Amino acid sequence: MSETSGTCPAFSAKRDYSSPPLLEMNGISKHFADKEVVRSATLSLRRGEVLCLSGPSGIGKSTLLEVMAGAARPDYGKGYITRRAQASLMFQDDALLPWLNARDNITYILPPRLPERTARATARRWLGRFGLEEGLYPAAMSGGMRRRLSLARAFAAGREFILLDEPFAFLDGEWQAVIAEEIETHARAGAALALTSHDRSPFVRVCSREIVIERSPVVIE
Amino acid sequence: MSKVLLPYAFSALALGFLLWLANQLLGSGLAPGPLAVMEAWKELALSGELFRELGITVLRGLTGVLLANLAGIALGLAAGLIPALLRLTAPLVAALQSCPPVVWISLVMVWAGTGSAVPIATVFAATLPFAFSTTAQGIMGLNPRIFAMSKLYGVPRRRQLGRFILPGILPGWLGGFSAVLSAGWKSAAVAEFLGSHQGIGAKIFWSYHKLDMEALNAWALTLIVLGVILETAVITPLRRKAAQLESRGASRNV
Repeated sequence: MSETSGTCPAFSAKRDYSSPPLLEMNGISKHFADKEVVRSATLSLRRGEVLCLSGPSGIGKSTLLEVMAGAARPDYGKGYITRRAQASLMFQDDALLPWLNARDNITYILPPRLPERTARATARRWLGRFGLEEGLYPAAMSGGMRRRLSLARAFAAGREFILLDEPFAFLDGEWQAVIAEEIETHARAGAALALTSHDRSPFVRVCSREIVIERSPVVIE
Repeated sequence: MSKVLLPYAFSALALGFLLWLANQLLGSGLAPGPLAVMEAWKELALSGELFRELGITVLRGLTGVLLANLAGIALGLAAGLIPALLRLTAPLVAALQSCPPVVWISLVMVWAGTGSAVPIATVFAATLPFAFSTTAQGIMGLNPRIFAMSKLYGVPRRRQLGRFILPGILPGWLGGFSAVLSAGWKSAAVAEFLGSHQGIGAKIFWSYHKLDMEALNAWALTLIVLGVILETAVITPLRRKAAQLESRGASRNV
């Protein structure tokens, strides 16, 4: 086993054992061509929990997060996912649409049944929370602003299973605190969150469980 | 004279000089001088024939290009979204792209006789592979994580098409469309020369057939002038717009 795991005492939101986990996966693996990135990962995530995956860059944290979200398929026939709530995922590369402004980047992913006016109001609320102007285009934003927009979109989706890939990257201390507060608020409200970072320091405040990944492939038992 | 017009004036003078030189070397029977060509051109313009034939050629070229783009975008979208289909059709598209227009011209002449069908079908066949390729390659170049994100959030297909896929392929498509327009225009003239009774290409053929060198040069001049107008007023601005959109999309993977 190449990982060490433990609890982080800093964050006190309670895991909810009364309802089923939002994610339950057993022995999941993932290859890219000949490279094995994830080997036999077994994980469960409950409401109120903030799981932090830390480790060096390029080790497979993002791939694991994408598999957890359902944005990448695990290897066929190896392991199984028994339970997975609808996930909201913030990609490491932000995955912003450059020809849409900040507001439309958020409304793009909102449910089609939502009236246009409600969708715009939702986008505006989250943009305001993360200090962004709605008419700004990604090309005119700094790395930190693009990261905040990507985070705003992940939260605006209104889902209870939220996965954030390097949420603190490119952000200064002030904005890291705002994001940490948002993560805590969601966990207290009953969401389950999983985060990755190559740097453990921003996790100290928010994580309730931490898995340190030291080498590739990622093995979690 | 403004800096914009100076190159055009220089090119017109150079063309006039070449006509004059040919006239001096070959004589008026084979190479009429610039003044005789301009006189023939004026007569064609005043009689209305020039504009009638010009309209026919432009209409045929545009019809072929528009039909090819409608079909090319629809097929290119399907192939771009289904990589297996793109791999499967790649050799066929390469074969169509390298196929000279004369193949289509002779086939359509056999199937449909001479007339508008020949230039329209030739332009369609010559430009369809370009429209298909630019659309399919444009989709292949889009950020795959945005496809994954769209699937994850259940973004409806229509919204994906309108807000992600079509704006994403627009820069490449505009660049391709400018090349298609240029190729389509030339194909239309060649197809008319070989397989039609009307249009500028056909007029060049009949002038050549009757050895009416003044008229032949006047029609050729019309083709050249129209080509320059197309290049300056349509193709260059389209390429500029494509480059501008491309640079805006350069941040797509950050």
